[in-house]
Amino acid sequence: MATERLKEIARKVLSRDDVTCLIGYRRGSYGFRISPCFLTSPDEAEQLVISPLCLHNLATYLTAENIGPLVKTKDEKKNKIALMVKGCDSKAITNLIAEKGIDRESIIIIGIPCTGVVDIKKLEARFPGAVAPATVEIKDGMWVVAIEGTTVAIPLDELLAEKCKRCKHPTPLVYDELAGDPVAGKEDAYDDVKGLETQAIEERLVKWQEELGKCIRCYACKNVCPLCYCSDCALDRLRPQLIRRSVSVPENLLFHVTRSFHLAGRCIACGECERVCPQGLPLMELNRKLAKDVQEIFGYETGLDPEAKPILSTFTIDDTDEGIL
Amino acid sequence: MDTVILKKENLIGFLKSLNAARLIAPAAKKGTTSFEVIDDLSSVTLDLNDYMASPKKAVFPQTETLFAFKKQNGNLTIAPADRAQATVVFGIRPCDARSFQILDSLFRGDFNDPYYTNRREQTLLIGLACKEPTNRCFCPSLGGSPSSAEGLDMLVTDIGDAYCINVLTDRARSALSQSAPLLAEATKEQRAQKEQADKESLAKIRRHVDLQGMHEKLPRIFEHEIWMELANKCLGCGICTYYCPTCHCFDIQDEGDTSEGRRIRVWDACMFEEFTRHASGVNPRPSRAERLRNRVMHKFTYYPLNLGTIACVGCGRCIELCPVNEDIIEILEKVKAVHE
Amino acid sequence: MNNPYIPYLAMVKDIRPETAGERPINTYTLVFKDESVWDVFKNRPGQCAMVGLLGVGESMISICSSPTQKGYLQFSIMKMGKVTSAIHELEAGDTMTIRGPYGNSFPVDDWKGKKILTIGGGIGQAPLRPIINYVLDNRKDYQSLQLIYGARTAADLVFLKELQELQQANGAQVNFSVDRPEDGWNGYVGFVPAYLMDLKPSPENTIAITCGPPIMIRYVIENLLKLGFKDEQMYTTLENRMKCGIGKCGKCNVGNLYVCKDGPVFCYTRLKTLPPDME
Ligand SMILES: Cc1cc2nc3c(=O)[nH]c(=O)nc-3n(C[C@H](O)[C@H](O)[C@H](O)COP(=O)(O)OP(=O)(O)OC[C@H]3O[C@@H](n4cnc5c(N)ncnc54)[C@H](O)[C@@H]3O)c2cc1C
Ligand code: SF4
Ligand code: SF4
Ligand code: SF4
Ligand code: SF4
Ligand code: SF4
Ligand code: FES
Repeated sequence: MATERLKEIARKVLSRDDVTCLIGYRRGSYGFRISPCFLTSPDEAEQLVISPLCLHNLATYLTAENIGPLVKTKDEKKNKIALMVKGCDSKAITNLIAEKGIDRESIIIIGIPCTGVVDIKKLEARFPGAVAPATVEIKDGMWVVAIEGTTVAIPLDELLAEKCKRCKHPTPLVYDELAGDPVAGKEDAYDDVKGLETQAIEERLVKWQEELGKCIRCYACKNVCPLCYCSDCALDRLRPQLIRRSVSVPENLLFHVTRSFHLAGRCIACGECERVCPQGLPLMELNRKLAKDVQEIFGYETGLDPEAKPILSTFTIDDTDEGIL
Repeated sequence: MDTVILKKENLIGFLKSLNAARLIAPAAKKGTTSFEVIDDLSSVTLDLNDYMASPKKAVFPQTETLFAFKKQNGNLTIAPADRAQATVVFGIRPCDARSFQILDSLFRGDFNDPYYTNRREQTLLIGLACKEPTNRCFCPSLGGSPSSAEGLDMLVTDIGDAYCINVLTDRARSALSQSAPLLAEATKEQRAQKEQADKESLAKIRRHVDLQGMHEKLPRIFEHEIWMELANKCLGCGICTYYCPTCHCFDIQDEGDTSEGRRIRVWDACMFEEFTRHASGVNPRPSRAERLRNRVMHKFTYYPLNLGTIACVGCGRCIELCPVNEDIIEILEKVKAVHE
Repeated sequence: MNNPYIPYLAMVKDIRPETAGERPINTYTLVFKDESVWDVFKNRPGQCAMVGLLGVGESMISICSSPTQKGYLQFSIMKMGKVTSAIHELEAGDTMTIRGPYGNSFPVDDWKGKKILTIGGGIGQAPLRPIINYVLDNRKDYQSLQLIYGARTAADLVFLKELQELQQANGAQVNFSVDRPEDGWNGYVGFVPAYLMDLKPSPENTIAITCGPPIMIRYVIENLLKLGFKDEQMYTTLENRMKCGIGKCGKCNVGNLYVCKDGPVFCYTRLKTLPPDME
């Protein structure tokens, strides 16, 4: 069992005297919810779970604003953080290392080969009202949902998260320990941005004005993103103020355009921004379109190689004019 | 108070008969249902099962102009924003109606906030009793219920084949002056049906928290490490506060330049790092731990101390929408479990 | 309806530079454009006001003139960020805005018959100035007035000239200090809390008011306690980020108290009960 393997690894890691904490997943407070957890001692490893409900990209905590509460110790020798990552999440780490946002030596990566996560909105719409713990696993190519004493089998594509339908790297690309057997990847032809690309410019405008009109600027998309970690973010500044505080379509547009451009060549498509958005904005459409452009223009795919030079901070004489964002 | 019956097929006609200058009701909007200003009555979502955002923005909009200013030939004029229009909010949940009373105690308090007060005075609240409380609802723990009439002008209850309407205030009575042909006095059976509906919905509440002693305990564990443990996973976003019907914090900013512009206020939240940061760069709440603690204590200790009521109505939005399962009930339970 | 968000217009009558450097301080003398504002604007020592510039914003600033100084208001403003920097660009004759007065005040009338001791650091002298002026204007009501005032260097001492004059003219005892030795300085060298221990003022029938950086306040209070001052003999002011000034925007709370409304003046008896919600 992957979970048993994981717990064993976690106990071992948490017994090391250079590890401050292990960031993993535990059962959440109700229904299908899973919660991130921060463990500090080996006996806490028992709480850990692996399941298709482990949605969060925990790599975001590595650069979380004010790491203060996370690292309780100032002990120089106790300076490592361990964390659980799925395939997509691991690309955030790869890219963070490439950008020198984190030091490879300071983290211990527990890789989880991933068979896909559920789209929680679809799942909860299907099973509203769960309070007691409910679980989801994959058995014989079907989701098996266990809720309040009954189990229901559901075809995979009905609840599979969009990102997982085209996941090229479900097995983490960097890890120190692997809790499970590698999983083969799928093709990614960027089918999800074809809609946007073929839409007439006027239609796009109408659609995005409507979408941007929904945004309430809660900054969850920005804060959950493992690659939005600038300590002095352009979007927050008052002097000079790039974006006004008033929440309106033009200001929201500026906010999202700035953010998606700052993530071009950096977004690793974990889809967290879209998952957390309480207003249901299709943010991944923007991010994926830019990822596709970067791939086509520069032949660069983000998050594969920790030694890579971040594409938009490098320059070669062969760069085309289109590449100037 | 009066109890009347409205046939379900007459709901639109009923809304029309209220002759509101502005009607705010739940409507579908690109994949979400939210309270919107209704131009076309047919866009009102009558299957009012679930919608996330509270209608707080009807009285306290996310962005609002306080005044506009203009400098012309050396003369400076300040023009306060327009007065509010008469508004009917239809379909507000009982918990949200109670939240308006909580907001009242702040905005109408010792300094009257004219923008809020003016909107509030212009707003008639027609509530809809919850038939199917969700798995995040815990209003009874905060003294409410799925059929609470507190703070409402009218309460509408679905009794199966018709709506039962409790007319609760004189304002509601005068608003109904044109509606009489659509309404009939409730019969004894219909009143019993309404009572039965109330009982059934209350029984469907699945989450509870006992708040006995909470407001006294929180200050005693102010410096406990539990706040760090609880805050580790928090992203410091605006979801739990922007969706909370009782949160009232705001920022004030000037937009435009020194010759012409406007001063606005816009929602802000104590979960943001920048909220309390001084101009010197010093932040009295330097980490997510202090911020989460402030959110919890503001709701469950400070508000009761200052204004005599807990600033939470148990709507559970913060629970459902938090991206990392920071669950207020779980937080309160953990606070209770702290050994002093 | 009375609208607390609409500011009064005021004209800059005079700008007096107090200190120079990276964060200079100027004292602004403002007069309301509409004289009738005085009928409603009744400031007491220790109160603050939101001063601002339309199109830029507002900042909470202590009113550093005393109500006994009629017909104008004074503010000593340090250049910090957006708003205060824009204010530092102003010239005499320009227009500013004022809302207020906000917050509680020093109970100067309850202190009649007592010895008044102010202990200030840096820009913290600003909220103390109205007490000093008030006491001087009602000199016979108070037994004595002593000031202890320190800054990083002599050039950082605000109101230096008027305080020096005060020393000569009014029988007040004025004690200056600077943090580090410098040429031409013959006053005390060292931090304010240490100077306090040097001077050893008697707690007897005395009220001590201290304003300045939080760290200074902490040590001053510690030392006053050592000198035998009782909780109810010590006062200070708190500062937090502010937007509304009227207890609505939620920015400035320390525990359940809002500094804009329940402060900025705190007697130590009350300060002691606040949760450690400050730096
Ligand atoms: C009760 C009280 C009395 C006061 N009395 C006086 C006084 O007498 N004299 C005096 O000089 N001052 C006084 N102050 C302090 C004064 O209010 C602040 O220095 C002033 O508000 C700074 O405003 P600003 O717009 O210049 O700063 P800004 O920093 O430009 O902006 C205002 C706010 O935005 C935030 N901010 C935005 N971007 C940044 C950034 N990049 N870095 C840091 N912060 C940022 C800050 O938190 C700041 O609070 C007092 C404050 C209080 C609460
Ligand atoms: S994108 Fe891939 S690695 Fe990420 S959750 Fe889906 S299947 Fe797993
Ligand atoms: S998470 Fe959604 S609502 Fe919040 S700021 Fe991002 S796009 Fe807007
Ligand atoms: S508790 Fe949840 S919703 Fe609230 S700020 Fe933290 S992450 Fe956001
Ligand atoms: S704190 Fe949460 S449950 Fe309580 S009123 Fe606010 S959003 Fe609803
Ligand atoms: S202080 Fe925080 S919890 Fe309280 S109303 Fe403001 S944003 Fe909400
Ligand atoms: S400044 Fe708004 S509450 Fe104090």
